[in-house]
Amino acid sequence: MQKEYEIYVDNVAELPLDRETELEIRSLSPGKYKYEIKRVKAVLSASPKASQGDLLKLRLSLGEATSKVLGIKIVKELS
Amino acid sequence: MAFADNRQFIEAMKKTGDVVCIKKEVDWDLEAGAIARYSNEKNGPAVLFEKLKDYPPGFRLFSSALANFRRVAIAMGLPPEISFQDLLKEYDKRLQKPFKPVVVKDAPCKDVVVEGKDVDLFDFPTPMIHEGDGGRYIGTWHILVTKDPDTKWSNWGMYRVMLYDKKRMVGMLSPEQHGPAVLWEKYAPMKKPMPFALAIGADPISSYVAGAFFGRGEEESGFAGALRKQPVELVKCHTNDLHVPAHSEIIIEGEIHPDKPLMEGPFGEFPGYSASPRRTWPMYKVNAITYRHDPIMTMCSVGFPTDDVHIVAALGKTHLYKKMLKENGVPFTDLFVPPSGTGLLVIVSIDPPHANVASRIGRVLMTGRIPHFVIVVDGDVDVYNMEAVMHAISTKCHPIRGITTHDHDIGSPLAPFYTHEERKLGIGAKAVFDCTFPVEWGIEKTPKKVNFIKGYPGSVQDKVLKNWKSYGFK
Ligand SMILES: Cc1cc2nc3c(=O)[nH]c(=O)nc-3n(C[C@H](O)[C@H](O)[C@H](O)COP(=O)(O)O)c2cc1C
Ligand SMILES: [Mn+2]
Repeated sequence: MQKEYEIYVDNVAELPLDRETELEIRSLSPGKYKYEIKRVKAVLSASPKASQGDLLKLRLSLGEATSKVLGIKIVKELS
Repeated sequence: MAFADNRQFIEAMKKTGDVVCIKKEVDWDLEAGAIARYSNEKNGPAVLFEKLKDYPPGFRLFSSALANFRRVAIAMGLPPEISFQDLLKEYDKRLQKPFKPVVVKDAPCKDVVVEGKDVDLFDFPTPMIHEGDGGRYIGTWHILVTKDPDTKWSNWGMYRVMLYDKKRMVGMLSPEQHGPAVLWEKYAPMKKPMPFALAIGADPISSYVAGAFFGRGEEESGFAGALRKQPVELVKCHTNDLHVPAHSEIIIEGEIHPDKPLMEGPFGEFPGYSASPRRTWPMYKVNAITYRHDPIMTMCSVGFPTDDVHIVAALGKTHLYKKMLKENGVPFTDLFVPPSGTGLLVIVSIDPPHANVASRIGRVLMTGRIPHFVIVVDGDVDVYNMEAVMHAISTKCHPIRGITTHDHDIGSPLAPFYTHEERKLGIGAKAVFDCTFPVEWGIEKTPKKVNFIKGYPGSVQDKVLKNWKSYGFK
């Protein structure tokens, strides 16, 4: 099943696409571990479908949600 | 007898109608926060959530312990209807003599012990309090216990703490606060982590004192004993030599690493906004968790007044600022930190002994980040009556000469009116509103107040009052 994650950004344009990047994201999967934070290596894509991976929602740094959704393929979980 | 724990406090509040116990399953993800927030905004009761989604029966959540003065009175063993002035009088009196805590061997907070690889912070129903918060906040009504490695001074503070992952947390540790000061001034230079204990769900007064304002070097545990009129029972932690209230619900033990930053925030904050920018603060590494059977997590659903933060500020800062003025020999008539000002504003009434005394009051009170506004009114203005205070501001404060601003100051990163940059740096400005007529105007040039007391001779007032009913009034 497709999983959902969320990331905080200062502006929606700042994330690099289509190459491996280190990110801090939080899990939105339902259940007791919802909102656990992870550092990951991942590749983001502008079109969620094309990434064949999971979804990444974007939130602004004071907490406002944005309508932007990216595709995310997690390559590796870092500690 | 003082309440040993939140369980006894909740039982007492059931009798006075000051708590609602929700048996229906509630979602820890926003629903509990929203319920408590709505209750806070309606001056409603405290809330015990008895069943939380995703968590086993017995794992409960208690919110808004002291979100009004009634519940502070109950926690202090006073009649719930007591006036704020009488509550403050008793509060001032009890604080004169701290009660040293007693150390006990066995404690309910050690019913269950979890250590090392078994530690999982997500085993407890930590709420996601507001939409957009950077994480689930485990520390919003808790005690952070830390110790000065040189003097052995043990401090209790309340500084927000967010869950990061199963074994890590992160929280705001502003360098001027007592626990963080020891971290930054003593542990950071030694390149050592600082042992901590986070006590969740201690008795209501012990939690209160952690969020209230005492001196550097003073131990909050003694003031908790004084306010309870009974010493607090402490027990040594499982993995370090810190001491925590024995009847706490959950104890989280570990170390704070000043050199290992994690991102924290945003958070719905006490001025009623999510304003302080997301930034890094030190990591809390968790080594052990001990807890009572059927533990009760705590929450303060912080935001627009009135919640626990505003009540602690009103009582604690009214006491503190009066003490500061007395210690500095500044005469005043009365002083109040209204909950609606969220703790950022203080009202002082005076009978001006000399010109520009308002500015002097401002300088005495504005040495820290907070308050940002000092409102000085004449001695005949009731500082507890916001209508009277608004009248004084509107009619006595000259829009230029009545306002003294202090620029290039430190300020609260949570103050919503500062720029994003100022909030990041914790800098800003402050202002004193002098709502007294200049003393040099003298009786000839000072506008005369027109109200019942000042506008009529005593004999006429007496006559009117004596005959009030006979005129046909009720
Ligand atoms: C519910 C609540 C939450 C608080 N959160 C914070 C916080 O996140 N950061 C902070 O610096 N102070 C916070 N405070 C205020 C401090 O607890 C208060 O300044 C207290 O004096 C700190 O203890 P200390 O003087 O021993 O440092 C909070 C107070 C309350 C009542
Ligand atoms: Mn202190």
